[in-house]
Amino acid sequence: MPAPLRRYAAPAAALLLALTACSGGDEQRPVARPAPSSTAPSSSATTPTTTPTAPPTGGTAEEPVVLPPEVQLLDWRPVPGSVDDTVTRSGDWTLTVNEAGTRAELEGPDSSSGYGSSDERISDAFIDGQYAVVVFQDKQETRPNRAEVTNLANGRGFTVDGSSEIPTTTGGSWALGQGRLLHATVDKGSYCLASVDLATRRSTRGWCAPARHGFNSARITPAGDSLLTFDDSQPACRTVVSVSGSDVQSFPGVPECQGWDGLLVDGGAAWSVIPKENQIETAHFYARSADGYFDLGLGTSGSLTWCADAAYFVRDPQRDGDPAALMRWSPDDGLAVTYRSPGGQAFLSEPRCGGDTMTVTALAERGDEQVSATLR
Amino acid sequence: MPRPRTIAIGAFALLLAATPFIPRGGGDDASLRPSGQEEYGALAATAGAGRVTPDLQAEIDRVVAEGLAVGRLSGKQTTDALAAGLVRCADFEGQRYCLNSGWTEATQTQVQARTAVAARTIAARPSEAGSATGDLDVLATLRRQATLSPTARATAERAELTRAARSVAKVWLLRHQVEGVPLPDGFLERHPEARASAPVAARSSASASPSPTPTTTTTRTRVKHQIDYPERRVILRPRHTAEQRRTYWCGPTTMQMIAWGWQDERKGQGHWADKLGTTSNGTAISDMVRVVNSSTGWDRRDHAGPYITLDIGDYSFRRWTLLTMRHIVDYRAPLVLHPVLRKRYYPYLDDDASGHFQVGRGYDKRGDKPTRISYFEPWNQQRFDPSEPFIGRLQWRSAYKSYRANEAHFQHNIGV
Repeated sequence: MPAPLRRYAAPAAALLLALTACSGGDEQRPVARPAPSSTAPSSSATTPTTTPTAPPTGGTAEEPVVLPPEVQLLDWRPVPGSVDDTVTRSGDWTLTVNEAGTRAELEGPDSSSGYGSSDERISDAFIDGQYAVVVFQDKQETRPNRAEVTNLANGRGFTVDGSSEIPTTTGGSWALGQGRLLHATVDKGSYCLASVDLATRRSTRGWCAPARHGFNSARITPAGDSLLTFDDSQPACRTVVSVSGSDVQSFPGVPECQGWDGLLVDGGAAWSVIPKENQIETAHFYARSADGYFDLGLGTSGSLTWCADAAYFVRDPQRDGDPAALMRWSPDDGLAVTYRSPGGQAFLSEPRCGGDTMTVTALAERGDEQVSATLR
Repeated sequence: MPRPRTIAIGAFALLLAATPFIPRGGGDDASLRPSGQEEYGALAATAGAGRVTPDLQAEIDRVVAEGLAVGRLSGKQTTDALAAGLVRCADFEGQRYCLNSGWTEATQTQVQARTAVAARTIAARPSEAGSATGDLDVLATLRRQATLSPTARATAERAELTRAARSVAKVWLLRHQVEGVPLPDGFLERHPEARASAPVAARSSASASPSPTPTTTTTRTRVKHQIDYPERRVILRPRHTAEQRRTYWCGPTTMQMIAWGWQDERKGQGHWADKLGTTSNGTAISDMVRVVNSSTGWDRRDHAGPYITLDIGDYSFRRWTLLTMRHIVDYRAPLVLHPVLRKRYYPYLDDDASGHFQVGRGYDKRGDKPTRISYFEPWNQQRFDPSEPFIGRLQWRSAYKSYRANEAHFQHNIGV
């Protein structure tokens, strides 16, 4: 682990005030009128509906419209190999990280390659149809992270590490998308975000966190970049922000200090808040589009993922016997259940986007499974 | 009346008549439990420490002698040789205890094999453990034992086996109460420490001013099911929590919180690190159990009885949850949770970490919603990594996720 870096502290009174002001109630909220449904039986799979439906009308930030989910199960196919491995499919490509997190295998239609070393472990692995990126971290977490980037079109690769134009740092959040790679860097003592243009291999330094603040949960979507920023108070005051160059802007409509996940969509955003700090894994998801604010319901904190043209997040079973589910939201199609786990007790790990392919891993009493589906 | 219908009615009548004699479901709700509950009418909720009988002593001597026959070892030997030499098992009245592992229903060969595989993996890839938060990994455990002289190792093994032998009644009771295993004939005669009316043994180190109220031992017991337990129960005070001050001190911090809950007095993590024999490689669960027994009163007969390291590898989720409820409600004592701290089980984490210790202190059945457990989490990721936000020490979470994280640990055991 890196040496302690103490650099935060919001006034406790202000934080208490903010938390008090932000505590949510259980009051009734307006519910969206269900759109014409393409509901499928839970046991069958359907392709996403293409039937044009009017986008649901949203509410206000204070009274978002509750979106009841439709069931639009995707055509999920089993992923070969052990469920203990973490696999991300991307069309004909497969990126597999072994259970120990020590080795990654990239397999394509005509080639395969491996990554790994004895004194490092893999902290992140991404593939998006154009590039594959495997991020390594040394065991003691004393050296800057190292990312091996592979261009899937020609097999050429390069490294982003502590000796790069904008150096990496120890740990921190990584994201791949839109031909760019986001990572953390330290510049003159400040903790900053850096962006690598993968085609030109040029890096630029972006926003730097103020003193006693940090960030993680970097996300890239066609609508822009986003982060979770936080201070060093206990509990932390967490703010979901959009990032543009060296500027950040808080997501509108997110209760102060309660944010966790966040990503941008055209004309809006999706995010989550933590209603109870002593249930840090249970988040409440919301979204905003040109049509207003929506309440997407409960989900697992840290699971919000952009893939193809929609936001996805994971939901634990809400009742005994319910399956765990992969939820999808987009401004045009609203909220849908796209995957249901085998029954009994169950949960899903963080969904993994491979450009136009989604992979999920379900851990369930009635059998674990790792499956993928093409999204478009 | 047609003949087939007569036969069917007769068979149905026979079935009804025989129903009272069919064994009913046991501790796992779906499994069988022993009939003849009257036999166990005098059982206590748990057993105190028993005496070492000549038979138990003979088994201890046998296993220790096997270790002496192995001779001098070193940390440089193959992992297979270390596992075979150091992970030996004793049969105490039909219950198996394996050195450096705990109480298990697996065979000695199975325990040695899985230990060797885990150790081999770590030896081949030093980064296997990820960010180590303080659970002593299997390779470090074996190497620690291997560096001892044969005599010193025999002394340590004799002490470990003696502690185990004295807790065999607790193991039988747990298997009976949670797993529905019938108690052997003459159990109460051999183990008066398991009788409801047995006197509470005086304790030395931990008898001073315990904060919890005494347990009322039952005069009649029966196998309890989840439905028999209250909807929600917690123990320990949320203010008795702390975050680990060193990356490898999850053991001392877990111990600090467990002891703090008993004595209402906070002792430093360094104090507990010394008692646990913690090194920069971490803490062994066998040491956690040993120090809970020696330094708190949670092991008293009116609480959990002597803590043991119990293999839950073959436990269903329902059984694991029943064990938790029994511990919180009947024992009113904390559990030493032993999960692997990986993102797949703890989604708020930024990185995968190692085996880990937490304090189990409550549950909530939540009606028709999935059960949650409450625990104290010593790991504050923010303390060691500025890219991660603060997480509170008191947490509630899906019991099934914690069960899977416990099962995913190669030792899949727990301190109860």
